[in-house]
Amino acid sequence: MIVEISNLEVVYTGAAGSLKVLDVPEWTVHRGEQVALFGASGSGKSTLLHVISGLLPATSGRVSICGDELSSMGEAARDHFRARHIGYIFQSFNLLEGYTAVENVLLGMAFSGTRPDRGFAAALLSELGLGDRLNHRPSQLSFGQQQRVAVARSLANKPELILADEPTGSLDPSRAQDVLDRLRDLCKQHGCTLIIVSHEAAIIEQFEQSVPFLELNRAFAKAGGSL
Amino acid sequence: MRLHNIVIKSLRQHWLSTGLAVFSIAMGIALLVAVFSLREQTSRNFRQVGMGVDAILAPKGSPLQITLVSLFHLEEMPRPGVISWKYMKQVEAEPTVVEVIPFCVGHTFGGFRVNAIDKRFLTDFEYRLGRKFSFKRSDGGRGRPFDTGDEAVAGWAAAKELGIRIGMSFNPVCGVAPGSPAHVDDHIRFVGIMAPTGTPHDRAIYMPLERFYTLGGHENIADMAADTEHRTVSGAYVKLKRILGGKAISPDVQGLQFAINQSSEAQLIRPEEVLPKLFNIIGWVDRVLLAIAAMVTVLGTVFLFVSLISALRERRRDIALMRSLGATRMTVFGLMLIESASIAIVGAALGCLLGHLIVGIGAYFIRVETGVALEAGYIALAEWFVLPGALVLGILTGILPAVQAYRLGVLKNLVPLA
Repeated sequence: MIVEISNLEVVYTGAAGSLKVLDVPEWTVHRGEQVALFGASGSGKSTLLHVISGLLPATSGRVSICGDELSSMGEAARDHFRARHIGYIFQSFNLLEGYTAVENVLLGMAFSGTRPDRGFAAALLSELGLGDRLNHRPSQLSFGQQQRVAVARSLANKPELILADEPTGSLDPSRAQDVLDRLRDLCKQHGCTLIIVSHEAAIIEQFEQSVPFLELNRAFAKAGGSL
Repeated sequence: MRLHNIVIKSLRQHWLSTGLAVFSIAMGIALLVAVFSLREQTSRNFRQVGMGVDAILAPKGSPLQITLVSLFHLEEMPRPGVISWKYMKQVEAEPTVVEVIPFCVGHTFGGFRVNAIDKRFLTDFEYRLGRKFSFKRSDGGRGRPFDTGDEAVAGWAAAKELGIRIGMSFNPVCGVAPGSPAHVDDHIRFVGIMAPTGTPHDRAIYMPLERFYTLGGHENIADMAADTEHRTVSGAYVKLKRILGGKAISPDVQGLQFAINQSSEAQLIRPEEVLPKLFNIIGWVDRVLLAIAAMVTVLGTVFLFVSLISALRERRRDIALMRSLGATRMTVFGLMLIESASIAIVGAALGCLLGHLIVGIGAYFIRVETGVALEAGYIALAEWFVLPGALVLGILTGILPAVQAYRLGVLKNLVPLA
C-alpha cells in the first residue's frame, strides 16, 4: 500500500463554529496504481490531497503514506517527507515567474536534501517535449507547456507518489489530453503512483480506477453535497 | 538548485531594490571606514611627527601655534618670536638635554616655508625613531645635505610641487604672507632633495642657520652671524634624555620644563602634550562626521528592511510554493535571513572599498596641505569590526521579514497569478 487512510477527519474551526470537511473512514491505494478521484467542486477533493501531501494536518484519524505515519509527524517532518516522496501538480501550474523551465524543475529538487541534477531535469523536460524550451520563462511558454513544466517538477525528486489537483483544469481539451497522456506515461515509466483529482468526465473515464468522492467523503454526503 | 542559488535568484529578481539597499548600506559604511581610517592615521601620523622632536624650546606664546609653526610649517611665530642663543646654550648644557637643534623661521619660497636650521638636523635628527633624513636615490632622494654657504635642500613634496632640481637657485621671500618682498640679492642653490618621509618635513625647504643672519635687508641681525653672544633664534628642537631603552622621557625633564616655563625668556613645549589638545579642538569635526556616517548606515539599514518587507509582499506566492515543494518554515526563515545578510555584507564590502577610495582622495589633499602621508589601504582597528558588524546588522534587519515569511500560510498564499 502506498496510501492507507482510516477514520480521517478534517475539521475547520473558526469564529462561526466548526465545519467538518473531510470524513474518510477507509481508503487505500496500491503502489503503481493510477487513481482518479472525481466529484463536484467543493467536495473536499483538494483537501484530501493536501492531507495526503502533508500540507494540511488531519484533525484525527490515521494517514500512512509510503509506509510512514504522516498523521504522527510534525509539520517540519511532513515538509521533509513531502520533499522526498511526493510530487504535487496544481491546476494553476504554480511555476515561479523569475525561474526558467529547467530552474523550476530544479527547484523541485532543492528541498529534498539530494544533489540537484540539471541533466535529469533537462531530460524530464525533453521527455515532455520541452527540450528546446529549457531556458524559457513561464511567461514565454503556453499554458500547456507550463503545465508540462509543472509535471516535470513533480517528478524531479523521483517521488513514489504524484498528486495532481485538476492538472488539466486550465487547459483546452487537446492540450489537456496531451498533458494527461504524458503525465500518465511518465508515472508508469518512473514507477510512480498517481492520484488525480478532477471533475471532468472526459478525464475520469480514462482511468480504470475512479473513485466517486461523494462515496469516499462522508462529510460531503452528510452535508447533502454542499460543504 | 541549491539554497544559495535561490537567494541569488531572488536578489537578482528584485535587482532594483537589492541594488539600492546595497548602495545605501555601502554609502554609510564607506563614510564610516573613511572616518575611522582618516582619524586613526591622522592621529598616529601627527603623533609620530612629535616623536622626532621630544620638545621645542620656543619663545613665550601659544604652544599650539608654535608647534604648528615648528613641526607642521603652518601659522606664524608669535611676536617677537625669538629666544637668545645664550639661553639656548644654557638649556643645552642641562643634564637632561641630549641635543638642541636651533632654527629660524619666517621665510618662504613658492609658498613653502624656508627654515634656516642647524646642519645636524639633516644628518643627526631622527624624524621617526631610528629614521634619519636620506638623500640616497634608492630612498627617493637626490644630492646631499647643505654645507654652510649659499646652499639649501628641499623636502620631497616641496621639490615635486615646485619642480626643484639640483643646481637651481632661488631667492628666499621675507615673510609668509603673499606679496612679501624677496631677498633679490641672495641666491641660494639647491644641493639636495630629501627622500620622502611622509611627514610635514617633506613640505619645507631648509637652508643653513648661519645664512639666515646674512640675508640682505636683515641689517638689525647681520651682526648675529659672527656674534653668538647677541644672536637670537626662533626656536630649537630639543632631544631629551630617555629611559627604558628610549621608550620614555626621563622624569627629570619635568623639573627642567617647569624651570624654563617659569622663566621670562622661553618655554619648553612637549608636542606629545600639545598634539592631543589639537585633536580635542578638531575632534568635534571627527564626531560630526562619525555621526553622519552612522546615520547614513542606519538609513541604509532601514532601506534594507523596507525593501525586504516589500519584496516579501511580492513573494508570498513564491514562498508558499517553495513550502509546497518541501521547504520547511525554518528554511524560508533562513532564506530571508541569508538574503538580508548577503545584502548587508555585499553593501559593507563595497562600502569598505569605497571608503578606502575616499581615504585615497582625502590622503592626497591632506598630504598637499600638511605633508602628512596617509595610506589609502590602511585598515583602522574599527574597520575589522565592519564586516562582522554588517553581518549582525543584516541578520537583525532580516529577522522581522524572516518571521513574516516563517508565518506565511501555504494554502492561503498558493493562489494563481492574476
